[in-house]
Amino acid sequence: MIDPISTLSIHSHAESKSSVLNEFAPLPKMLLTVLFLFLTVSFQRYDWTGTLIFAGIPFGLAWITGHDAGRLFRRTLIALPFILCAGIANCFFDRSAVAMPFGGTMPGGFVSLFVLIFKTLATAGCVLLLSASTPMNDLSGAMASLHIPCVLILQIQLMFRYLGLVMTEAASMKTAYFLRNPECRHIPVQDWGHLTGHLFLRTVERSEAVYRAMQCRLFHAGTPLPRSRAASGPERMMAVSTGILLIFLRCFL
Amino acid sequence: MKVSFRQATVERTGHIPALNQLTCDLEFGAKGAIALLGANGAGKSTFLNAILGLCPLKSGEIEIDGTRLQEIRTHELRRRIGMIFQNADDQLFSQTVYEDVAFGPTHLQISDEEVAERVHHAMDVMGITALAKRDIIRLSGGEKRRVSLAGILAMQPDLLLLDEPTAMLDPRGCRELSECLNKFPAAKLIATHDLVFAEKLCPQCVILKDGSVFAEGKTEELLKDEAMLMECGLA
Ligand SMILES: Nc1ncnc2c1ncn2[C@@H]1O[C@H](COP(=O)(O)OP(=O)(O)O)[C@@H](O)[C@H]1O
Ligand SMILES: [Mg+2]
Repeated sequence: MIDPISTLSIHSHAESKSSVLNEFAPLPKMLLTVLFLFLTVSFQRYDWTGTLIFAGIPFGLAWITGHDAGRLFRRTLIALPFILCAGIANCFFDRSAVAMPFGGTMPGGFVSLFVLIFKTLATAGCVLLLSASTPMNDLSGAMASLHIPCVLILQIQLMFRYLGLVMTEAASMKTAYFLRNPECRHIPVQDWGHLTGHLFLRTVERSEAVYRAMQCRLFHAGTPLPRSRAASGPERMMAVSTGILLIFLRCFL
Repeated sequence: MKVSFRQATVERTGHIPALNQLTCDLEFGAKGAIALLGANGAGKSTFLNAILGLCPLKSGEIEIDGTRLQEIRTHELRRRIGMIFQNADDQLFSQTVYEDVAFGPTHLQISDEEVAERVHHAMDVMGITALAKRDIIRLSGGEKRRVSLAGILAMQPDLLLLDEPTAMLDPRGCRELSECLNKFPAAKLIATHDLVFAEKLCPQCVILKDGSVFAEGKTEELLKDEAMLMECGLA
């Protein structure tokens, strides 16, 4: 009933043993992720074979490189409820017939629901895998080397930090709620209002404290961002060929 | 190092003065430690925050080595004075132990090699080298304290402020902490209501009550005065 923070936290397993993916230079990794997102989103809305294969890529990659693919998949599922709401509505409106490979047809709304699910798995899985295999500092370094404005990177860094805070605060509030209310299995809707209000206040309070701690250790907006390791020759080759392979897959699926 | 408060007043929201016309002089030896004692709400945290310029004074002055706080560059002030927050979770905001210890030094305009050297040295002194790659959120209370200390040690401050360092530590954690503090090469100002801990580490102490100095002097002697301790909520 009580989620351990680890399942909620977006701070991923940085302590996991070194894998090929962890060691790979951050910049090409980030660029490949962006390319992958772009290609995934570009699939047509009935293109279920292509999206299915793309949805498999992040998890396959995680599995091959020794990351916990099951855990990655479970985390990705968190994004699904939102998509399902949109997709299910589609089932009622879109009734055009779509041909299936083994003969017969399926309603269009149904097919597009699956395409939506696959796209979500692919994009969320890929982003989570990137964050699991690359420390935030390296990502900021990679963004800095692309000449993305410092303010924007800072924003992303802080957001990442505060999101973590919201998550831990929410987890501990939930624990406290259930411990004093052992019979209860779901937090009733009428309690959500004041709980979220409270969560907001607590998070603001804690983020102020964290910001003070950062200031005490000489952080101020506009300080030089940490540089990340540049990609070596073989890594570039590898990244470019992976990119071409992805584009090829997208065009011929 | 010398820190002086001259009739300093700080108001938190709600307009209760958290420090009320507070005047005192703290003289630190090279590795000297002074205890800042007081019951909950006496103003200890506010006192420490005021030294770092984290809560503005409504009136009065604070001087560091005879220079007024406003005249010291913030960067300089925060390099020279490090602070350990009461809640270690507020203090540690990076992902891994190594990253967190390196956070301060990377903002010091020193070479990457020197940053790495300082981080390794600090982790070595605090005995957390084995934890370097661990996720911050998966550490015990005592480990978090030592990581916080290493993060400040790596910045090589002259003065270390500690806000209730023994809160949330078990007896062994307290013992380890006092060993770590003995190894820490800086003057220390320790805000606490843990009298045993204060007496062990600090020959001198200042007792606060309702935002002003209630008593100051030798810790050993002051802590014998039961009636006085009772009056300021420490016994
Ligand atoms: N964030 C805050 N907002 C408003 N008032 C505060 C806040 N923090 C502390 N205070 C008030 O300031 C006074 C001194 O608090 P503090 O310095 O935290 O004491 P101590 O650390 O000795 O327990 C208390 O009366 C408290 O109510
Ligand atoms: Mg306090």
